[in-house]
Amino acid sequence: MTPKLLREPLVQFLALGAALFAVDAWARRTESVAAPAPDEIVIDAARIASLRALYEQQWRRAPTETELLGTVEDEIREEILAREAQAIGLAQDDAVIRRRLAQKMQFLTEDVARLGAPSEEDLRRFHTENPALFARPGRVSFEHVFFSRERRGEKTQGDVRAAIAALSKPGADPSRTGDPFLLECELSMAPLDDVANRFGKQFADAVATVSAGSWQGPVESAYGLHAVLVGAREPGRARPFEEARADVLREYGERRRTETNAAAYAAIRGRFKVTVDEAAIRKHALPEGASDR
Amino acid sequence: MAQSTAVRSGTSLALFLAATAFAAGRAFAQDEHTGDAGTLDKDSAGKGVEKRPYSPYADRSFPTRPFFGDTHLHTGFSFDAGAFGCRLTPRDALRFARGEQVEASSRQPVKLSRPLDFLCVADHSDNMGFFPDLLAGKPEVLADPTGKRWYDMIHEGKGQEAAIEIIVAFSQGKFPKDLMYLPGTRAYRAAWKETIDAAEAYNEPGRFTAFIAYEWTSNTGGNNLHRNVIFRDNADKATMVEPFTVYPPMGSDNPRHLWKWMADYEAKTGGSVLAIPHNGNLSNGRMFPIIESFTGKPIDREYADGASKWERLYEATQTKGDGETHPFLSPNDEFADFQRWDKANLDGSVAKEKSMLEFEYARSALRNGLKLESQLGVNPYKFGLVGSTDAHTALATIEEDNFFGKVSSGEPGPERLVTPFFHNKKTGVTIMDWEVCASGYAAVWAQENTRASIWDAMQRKETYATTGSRMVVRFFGGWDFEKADAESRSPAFAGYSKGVPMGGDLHAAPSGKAPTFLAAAMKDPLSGNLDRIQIIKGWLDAKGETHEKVYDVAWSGGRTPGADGKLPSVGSTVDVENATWTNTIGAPELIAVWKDPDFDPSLRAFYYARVIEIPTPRWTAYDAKRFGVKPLPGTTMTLTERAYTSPIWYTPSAK
Repeated sequence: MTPKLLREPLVQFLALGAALFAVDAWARRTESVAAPAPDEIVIDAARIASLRALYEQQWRRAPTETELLGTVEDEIREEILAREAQAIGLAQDDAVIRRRLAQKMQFLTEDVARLGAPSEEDLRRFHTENPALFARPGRVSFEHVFFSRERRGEKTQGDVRAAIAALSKPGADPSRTGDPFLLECELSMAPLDDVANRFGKQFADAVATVSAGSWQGPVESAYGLHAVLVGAREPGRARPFEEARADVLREYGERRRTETNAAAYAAIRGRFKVTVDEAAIRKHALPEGASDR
Repeated sequence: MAQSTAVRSGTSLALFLAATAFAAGRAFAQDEHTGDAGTLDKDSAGKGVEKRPYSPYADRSFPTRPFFGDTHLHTGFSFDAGAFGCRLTPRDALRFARGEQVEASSRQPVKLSRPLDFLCVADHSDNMGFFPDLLAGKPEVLADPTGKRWYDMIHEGKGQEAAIEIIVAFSQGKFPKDLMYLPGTRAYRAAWKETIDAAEAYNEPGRFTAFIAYEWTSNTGGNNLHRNVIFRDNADKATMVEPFTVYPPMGSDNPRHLWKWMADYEAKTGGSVLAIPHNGNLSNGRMFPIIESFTGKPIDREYADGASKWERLYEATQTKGDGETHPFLSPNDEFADFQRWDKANLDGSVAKEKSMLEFEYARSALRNGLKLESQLGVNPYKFGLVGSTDAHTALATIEEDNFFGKVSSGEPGPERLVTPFFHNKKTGVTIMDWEVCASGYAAVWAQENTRASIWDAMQRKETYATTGSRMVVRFFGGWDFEKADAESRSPAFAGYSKGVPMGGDLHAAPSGKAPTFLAAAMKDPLSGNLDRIQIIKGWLDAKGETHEKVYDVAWSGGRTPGADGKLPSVGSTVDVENATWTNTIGAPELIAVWKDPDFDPSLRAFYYARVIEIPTPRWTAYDAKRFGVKPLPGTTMTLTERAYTSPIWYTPSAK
């Protein structure tokens, strides 16, 4: 099959169905060697061992013979009543049973979706098709000097300009200018979104755009004014596959899980004719937006 | 300017002492060529931090930014969260914390204003994974009459009532035995495994840290003694164990047994874990005992050793109230009455008595810790401070204008301003939804954003609590801080070289000296300006009694303390009706050096900084505005967000 065909939900579902069938057949084979007849109940050694283990887990010791026999009798009773209930149709229209079966179906599809590592080809394709998911944000290296309005008041703007003039002369030392600042005064290849979160968006926009290589400003941050010296910049870019591999693996896994579930459901649903009385829905619901702000 | 008025004068010996402090060389290396303190010229020494390589940034290894996160978040894997309607999983919680938009359990889209730096999904260890099965109507669950009834209640839309019943049943030891999800069972292991897998998938060193964690939920009699247990380790070690639970015989409600479990884990795996006690305000006097509630006897050395070794931090603020201090305990603290939940214990079964308060608030515990240390030789309550959400929504979003409640049934909607959050029919204790707090976060000064680095910073207590705002707060203690240190461009250089950061210790006061502190804060870029920085001192006097005092050390412009020493209020710009405010009052940054004016070198003491923002609208104001709902009379509509740093302790040298 071509890769494209492999991505068709229906094909996926058929494959899934085959896998489920295989799993089921395997499970049946191991469950008991000779499947008992509908009116026969066999409690074999394997079943007894597992009942004993359950007992131990609960009581922190092995059961006595009487206790183990009691557990076996409970098991037999439950099995008989459950089969009888099925036989006379008590499972029909039971919301609890229905929900549990639906959940088991979903677990199965999820388990299958998780089976096996995705192929290199799948991952590469997913990476190519979703560049935005794996983009590396723009980065910038800069140095800055902070000027506090709280300390300087009206003079702040002028002080920044004077400092920029002074800093532009050879041999000037920025660490002797400006006011105390609690975050880094020199950032190396900081992601612009991180700069925006910590200094304010206006500041991040400025360091992304002002001329590099010379002191610039005043630049406004959430805290006050700054003189900034932008060094290197790296524009946002797509990350090549090898660089993004770990993220691709994680995102692809998540995506495949959701898609497989949706595809499996869609395929099954396609076999049903579903009719919903839409007028009745409108009649029984609040108008859209009625509970909104 | 204004803040300098608060600076107590530095010592005149500063020139010389600055140099000797550098010789001690705490945080960065000396310049080999000028390393001799004797060569220091007056000019540069006066600036306090010049004894370094030419480049101010060379050799720097101390933390340069705080990482913000949540150490206490529940998802649908927690049985009570599930009952309250949470359908999101640990994976959803992590995606959300990393900044992605997700659909909340109430089907509303939600996104953080900014990503968090780290997250601990800490689901209850008891019954982990029980709820998804209850919700799905797993036969084993429905086989039990109580399980069936809860199931029916949830599907009849009475999820909130079911949740309360489940919590009460658990608290009172009446949770049906057959329904317990115990370690060792397949269902339980699957839930723990998935918790670990999710953390592994979203942990991204350098960008986002996803810790492996769980909450041990000791709740006997409804008295909240929960602890969050946080692993420094990766899946390889964490999968070697299953969480410690409360229900016997495997579990226990006694913290001593939790500490034993932690020691066993470390011995077995070579890994590292620490525990953060849940805000004690609902423990009814049991979180920080002097008399142990389990034995009725005074706590002993073994208890003190265990507590101080394993419980490095304390959750001082969260959605179920703020736990810094209480007006009854701190009558002279004008900011003590803040988001207090002081009606009862966790399930409202026993009303609060004033005598309980001392043993469940952070400040009084720090005070009693000094007393116990003088008696036992170890301070059991020598903890650092963090805030966290304890949200049961899988959504660590507690900014006032983006608050998705404590539980999923409390996600935004027109009802939550007027509905009760909790009501105990027997005792009549009621807590309204509007009393739920949009609080808090943990801030950690770590070198880098990794499990190891953040965990190590938690272990050394270089942390502070915030009530949800992301302010930057520094706090250093030493013997030689002087005014110039608050003027230098990067105060942290002086902070680390001349003193110890928050969470540290001062010993053996040099003759004639009092401790000095460098305290600084910058506002959250998206929140209110700062009103003031305060330093809170607690001490043990010669007679064995403890005391506390609050000092204003830096504040925004134009205010002078009155004759009573009280600083005038910063005022308020909040327009409650429109849920707006302006930063026309307060200051974006504050800094000061402060010297203890009442220091007695023979007495044990602790000091921590509290930073207070100007008033801003509380989440209730945003709700009233956005939903057009009239709040109930008495609803709190504004607040002052704040931060509490870990203390710095002073211990006199042994006589």
